Amino acid sequence: MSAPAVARRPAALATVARVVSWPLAAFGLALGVVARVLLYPLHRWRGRDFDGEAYGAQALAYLGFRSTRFPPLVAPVPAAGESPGPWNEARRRMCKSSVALASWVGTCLYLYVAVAAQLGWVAGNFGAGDRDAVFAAPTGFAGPHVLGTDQLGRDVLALALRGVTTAMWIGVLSAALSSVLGTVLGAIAGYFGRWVDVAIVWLYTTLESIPYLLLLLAFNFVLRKNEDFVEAYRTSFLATDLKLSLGVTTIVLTLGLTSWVGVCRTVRAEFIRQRDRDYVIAARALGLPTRNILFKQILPNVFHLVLVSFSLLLVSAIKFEVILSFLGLGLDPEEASWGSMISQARLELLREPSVWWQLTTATGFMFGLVLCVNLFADALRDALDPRLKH
Amino acid sequence: MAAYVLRRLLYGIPILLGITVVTFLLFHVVGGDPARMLAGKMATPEKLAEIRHELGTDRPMFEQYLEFLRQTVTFDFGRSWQEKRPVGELIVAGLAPSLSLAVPAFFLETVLALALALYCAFYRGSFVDRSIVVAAVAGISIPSLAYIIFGQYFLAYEWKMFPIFGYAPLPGGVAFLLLPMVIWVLLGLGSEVRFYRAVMLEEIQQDYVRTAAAKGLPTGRILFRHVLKNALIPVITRVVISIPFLMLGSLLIELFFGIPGLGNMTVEALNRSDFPVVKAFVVIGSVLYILFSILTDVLYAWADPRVRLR
Repeated sequence: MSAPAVARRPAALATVARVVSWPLAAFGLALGVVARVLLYPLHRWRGRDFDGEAYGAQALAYLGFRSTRFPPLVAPVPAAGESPGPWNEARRRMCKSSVALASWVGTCLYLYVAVAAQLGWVAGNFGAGDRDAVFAAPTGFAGPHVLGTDQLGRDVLALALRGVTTAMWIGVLSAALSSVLGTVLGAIAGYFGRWVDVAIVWLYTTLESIPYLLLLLAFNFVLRKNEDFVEAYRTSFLATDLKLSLGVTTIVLTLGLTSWVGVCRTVRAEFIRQRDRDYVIAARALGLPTRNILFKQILPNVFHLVLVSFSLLLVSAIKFEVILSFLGLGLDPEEASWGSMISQARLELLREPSVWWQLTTATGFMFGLVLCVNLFADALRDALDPRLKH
Repeated sequence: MAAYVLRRLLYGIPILLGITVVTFLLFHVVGGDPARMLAGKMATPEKLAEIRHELGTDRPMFEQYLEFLRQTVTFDFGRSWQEKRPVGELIVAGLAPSLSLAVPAFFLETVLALALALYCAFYRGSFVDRSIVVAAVAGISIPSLAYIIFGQYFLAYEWKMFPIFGYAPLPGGVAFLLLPMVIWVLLGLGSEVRFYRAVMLEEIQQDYVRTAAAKGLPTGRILFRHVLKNALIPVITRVVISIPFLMLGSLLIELFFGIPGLGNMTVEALNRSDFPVVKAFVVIGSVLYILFSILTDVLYAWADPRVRLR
């Protein structure tokens, strides 16, 4: 996105963005504090220490809106006057763009809706059909069915809200799976070179040569037909603890295992560029273990690429869910997902009078999320890589 | 050049082997037992054994793989399990409908995207440029099914501008292909414009453009002779590498508009567990991809004399 000619700091929007991201930050910091407390004996034993007081003070200052500096989750807290580091720098750059802030606010809101719906706070009875109100027209906020009902009398708004959860699960899990896979393989290939590189490049060239949609459809299809897989799914924590349906699990696995090629290629190229830099040679000379060099020394310098790929993968996963569900390879019609809503609703347009609300609602919800994440990915890429000017 | 092409073709062999292994694993290991699917839930063990024998899935894995490899090399994929016709025949039948939609639509989309991108890059930062960028982002955020469903409903059903559904061979069936083409272009335009705009912007900020403008060349000449020519490499890559995927057409569009092309066939084959057909599509698509990626590299050298093929 091109920045507006006069870049003014959108103060109101920035405040909204900070308030909206507060729960997320609080959750992340709480996790960070817990991890630090748990790991404290280990750190002491290794002869390392961290300044828990400074960390806690910085965390409280951030959460109390008294500082804009986010306390780093792994590195020591920088002292006053010290460089805030590339991530805080990128954050500062993003706060200047109203598009970035607005898309971040939107993404956060979707995320909270997803969490609320997963916990049953919102749209808890989305599956309950009202036999007397089949295809009821939208009533607005005055009536019982704000956005109407579907062919089983289920509330369309509740279905769409519940669909946010489904989309988020699919998007986040599959993007995380393929990002991790792509990053690890790309790092190994780029760093070690030689036959490891040849093997991994061969693997991803092979996968890439297969037409993607076909690979996706075929993989998804055979996975669902495999009784052993279905059995393994039923007893796994995915089904019993997370209550993810078979359709969601299959889509996550299919997308996660097939869409890592792009990340792998980027990470590999970057690792090849980094592996002979001075800091890597120094790390090697100091005798750091290879795992440390790969993932603690080099990876932080490459991580911005992974982050951007992650958000783009998230978008494409949500889009593919719709296509797969439509083709009957995704979620079951009883599940609340935008894909199954759209595919059910497609013939309802032809009814007299036309039933347009289910299709429009699902399309609108999906459009909002995809637009926010797309814009955010663009802004992220611009902020993390200032050389790029799109 | 010939040596380079030959070497690249040889590199293609391990890739092709990889593809056959992936496909084979997919259908023979991950896919479970096809006989049980074909026979249905109530089949007797004898019936199952009979079907397995007929399909050849009772033979050792390695033997089956060799058979699949033989099929790949000879492009003879046996018979469809459902249609009982040779797979090759099916593919040839589906090729014409697919291509008659895909080729003009893809051409139109590329030309339109290039024109818009060139316009945006030239008037960068202007209101029109920013509107096009915003429209492109919005365009790629709308679910593809929404384009198809709303397009079909409003343009064809409500306003009766196009036939709703159906196919007839060219040249008689042009009317049936118009709406699918329009939707195809709309579907892809957003991401294409974004990509080409970035490419053009990169080029248009180069020194030679300023030099050309300074010595008084007309704008049209700068844009079409200088910028477009220099931006050709990424354009070629994107266009050529998309060609193998055109074969499948846009699966969803073919499905919605009842065009009996390869995309439609794929979905049908998947729905009916027709493994030989899907396997054939996967392998043929991949072979085309390998060939076209070699073609891309050769075209690189042709477009940019600085590129040496090694």
